[in-house]
Amino acid sequence: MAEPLTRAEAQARAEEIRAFALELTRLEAARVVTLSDEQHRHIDEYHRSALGAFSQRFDIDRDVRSKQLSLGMRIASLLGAIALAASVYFLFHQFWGRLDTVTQVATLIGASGLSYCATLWVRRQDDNGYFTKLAALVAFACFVLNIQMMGEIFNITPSDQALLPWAAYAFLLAYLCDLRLLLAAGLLCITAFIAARAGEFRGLYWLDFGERPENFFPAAIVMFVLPLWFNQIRYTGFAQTYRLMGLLTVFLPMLVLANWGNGSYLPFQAQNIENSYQVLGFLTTAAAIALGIRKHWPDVVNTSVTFFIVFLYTKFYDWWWEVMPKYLFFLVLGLTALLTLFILRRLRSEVHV
Amino acid sequence: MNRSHQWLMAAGASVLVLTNVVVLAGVALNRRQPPESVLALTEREFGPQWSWMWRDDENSGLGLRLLYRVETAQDSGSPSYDPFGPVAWLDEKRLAALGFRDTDYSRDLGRDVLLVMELDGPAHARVLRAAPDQETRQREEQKASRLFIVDAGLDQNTLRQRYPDRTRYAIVHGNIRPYQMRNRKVYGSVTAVRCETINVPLQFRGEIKKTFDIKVAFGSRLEPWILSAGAL
Repeated sequence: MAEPLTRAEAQARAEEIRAFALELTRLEAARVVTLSDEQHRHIDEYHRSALGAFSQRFDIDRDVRSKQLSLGMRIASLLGAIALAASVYFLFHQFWGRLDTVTQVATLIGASGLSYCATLWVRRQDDNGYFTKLAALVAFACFVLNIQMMGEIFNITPSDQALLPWAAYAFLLAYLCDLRLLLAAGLLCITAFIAARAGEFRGLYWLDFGERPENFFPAAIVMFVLPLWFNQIRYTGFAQTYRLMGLLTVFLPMLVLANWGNGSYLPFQAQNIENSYQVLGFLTTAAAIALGIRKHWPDVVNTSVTFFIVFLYTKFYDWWWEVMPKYLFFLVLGLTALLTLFILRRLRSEVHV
Repeated sequence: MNRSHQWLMAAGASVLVLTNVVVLAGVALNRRQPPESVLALTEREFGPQWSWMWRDDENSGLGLRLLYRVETAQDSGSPSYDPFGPVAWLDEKRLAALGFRDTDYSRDLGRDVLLVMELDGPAHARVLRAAPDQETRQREEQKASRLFIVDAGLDQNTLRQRYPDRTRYAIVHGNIRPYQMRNRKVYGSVTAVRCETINVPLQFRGEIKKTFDIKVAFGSRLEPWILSAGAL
């Protein structure tokens, strides 16, 4: 059996070992099977050795208590990283006006460089990745500040080209430190860049790209199919992050256009555009649910189900909010959710069969 | 450490270095001599920068925001010379020349164009002549901004040939959006001037008092910087 490549695989393997031990105890208590003392000793030694190796290499949670503490550490790490990044941003703005231009530029470049070196050093010392996440996020914030403040200092015309180095840096840090949050940040930057370019192609100023939601569709397609071309198996949760960002980048603009036809490039009546995007929203979410079930992608199924219901509720609101009493309206929403549950449960049992 | 990690580390360092090199090279390119234009402005042509997210003393930087005006269309109902109002000379014909389609202006988000800023020129002289009373005339002579946006185009060379005086006319990047009035007439509005806020370096901050004069240069990329400043 292949050795686990990622922390997630090692953790799953540890859970299987724990479940096996519990189930073996129950089977022996029910006298379904009886193992000799030597067999018990061999199994225990093998499992102890495997768990020890996983702990050393991946710092896994060996029991429920460790797992709960790990979740707490992840939350603390994330909040701490965001707070430190914000602190760096506001610290610089507090003091930069008292520095001459050369010192300002040197400080910005120095902060970027030092934070990057610090991230690499922390990564080498940190076994479990919590401190690495902090350092990497601060490094990313320093680089964003670096470019943004240079733009303010030298009155540089705002350009979408700044998004490219930000995206590249976020991707590099994400893959170096195995951080989904920075991968998401990189995907946001590259999405904004592609959308801005799509808008510029139509003559828009790049900062107006958000006013034409269709600008986001090309980026969504790229993000969704990228993990199919480049295997992400060595990076925990990266493939799911790509797919999730791809889905959000297509469903959210569709939802906006389903209610705001004037935001479309299409040269038709706003009402017709809204109706078309509503239908497209239903079809796309349904297709994504089917794809997610077929490919065993629970992230795709859950996200698509959520948006399917949102599209449905939006349509119900358009049809009935004004004509129905409120209790009846919410009753209809609740019954629709129940119906969705029944359908999904039916689909789940068909998958198991 | 495996080879892929070494590659990633080197790539990260390269991104940091290259990006800063490109930015600084762009600044040097913009500021190469001679500047595209140099305007001698005073405190009349500036206002404080927008600071909605900062409390007092949280942002120690100082930026001066250009206060420009436009000659608004008389039938628009907008205040005269409102910088965001419909511009009298940006009618349908001029908008078409700038690439705006005439089918549905309500859905047109605007375009990035080149704008011509005029300092203390014929536009300001017209405003002075049109002053309805002595108080307004005095305000226009002594306090109001003398900076007006007087033209728009897509080609910098064409605009510079039309306005050759580089001490009176600066060409800047900006955004124009069309609006259809209630009387069905269509005018354009200036919705943004890029780099309208100019950073004040430390060496000039002591000169920025209640009254001051300031020389602002616009470079080859039409990005401004302060050449000199003096309190009056």
